[in-house]
Amino acid sequence: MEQINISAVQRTEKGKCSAGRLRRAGKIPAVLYGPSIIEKGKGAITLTFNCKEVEKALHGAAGGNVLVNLSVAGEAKPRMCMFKAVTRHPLKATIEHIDLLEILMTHTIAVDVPVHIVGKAAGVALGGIMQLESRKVKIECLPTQIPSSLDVDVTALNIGQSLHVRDITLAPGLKVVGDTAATIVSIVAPAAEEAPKTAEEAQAELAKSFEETEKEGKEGEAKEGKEAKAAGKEAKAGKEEKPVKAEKTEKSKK
Amino acid sequence: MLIPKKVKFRKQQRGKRRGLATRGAALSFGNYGLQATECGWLSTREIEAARVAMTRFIKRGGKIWVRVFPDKPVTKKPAETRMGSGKGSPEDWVAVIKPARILYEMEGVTEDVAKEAFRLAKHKISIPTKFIKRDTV
Repeated sequence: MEQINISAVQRTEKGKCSAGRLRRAGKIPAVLYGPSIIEKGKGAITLTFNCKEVEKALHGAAGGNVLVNLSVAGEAKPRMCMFKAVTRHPLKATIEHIDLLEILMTHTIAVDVPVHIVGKAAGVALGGIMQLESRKVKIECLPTQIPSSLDVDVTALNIGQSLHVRDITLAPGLKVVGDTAATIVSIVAPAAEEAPKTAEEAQAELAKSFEETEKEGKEGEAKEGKEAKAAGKEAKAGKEEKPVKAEKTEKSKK
Repeated sequence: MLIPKKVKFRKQQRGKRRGLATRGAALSFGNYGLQATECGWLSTREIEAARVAMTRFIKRGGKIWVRVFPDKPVTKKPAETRMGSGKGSPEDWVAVIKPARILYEMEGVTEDVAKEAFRLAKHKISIPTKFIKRDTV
């Protein structure tokens, strides 16, 4: 299991304004939580990382499954933790926030381990397409036993065949969490290529769609109109009845 | 071409395209993708033209996912018509695209093939795009 050393500084400021200031200064806001922190009565510890240091540590990390030896400024002992979530900017792909989970080396944890495809499937050689259904498998093990990847041999797979989670041979001490019947890889037959439509056909298709929507719209309006008319008639009838009742009550008073 | 089967209202207002796309902004199916870097409207013809360009290039090698659907009707007034007398008739279907939206995804091909296929596709699209690939973290 890969292990990296990262240093962090505790931060006192909270909120998006201070987080933005940190990001502009080349730092990343982060939080650290775990069982030992909760025991002390704290929800989470807020931290600040150096962006370059974290990017370097994450580069080449096997699916983010690395043990982090975290030394927080002002604390005597380093903490052992793992990356729980790394939030990136959707367009720039820069790291915006990190969630760290403190772990106990004697307790098992559930982690997502990436799947590594080994060999070339027999079905692919025949023209099939290999479809990766799930890229990660959730595994429960001790922090020191987390594998960097799970090797899946696909050489025997033909077109129409698939490989499931239960087919993976795991090392002793590892246990699959969740559905063992989930598909990992399947070899599918290539889809027949559609003949491209001409511009005239496409135009006709568009025109047809608008005709249909127009027809539906008119039908809907007509329906609404009928309903409204019926409602109006009922309302009128109600109004006509009311004065009669009023007259009756007046007469009875006299 | 991608067209809605049924719509509740025939005409829509144009709307605004503020901010970044938060949904559909990450690769979900394939290893490679084409991501929009600016906002705009993508017509059903553009979506289809780009898809055909990619499919022809990769032939029968890989798989393509179209991550956008044109569900917004766009109206136009006929040429040489005076202004007024109501909104025009629906002429096209478009997909509203915000920056960071993934338009297409691809799998089952090498990175070079995917790059070239997306290069051909982005010439059919009116929105600036960029090539992205799946990272480990």
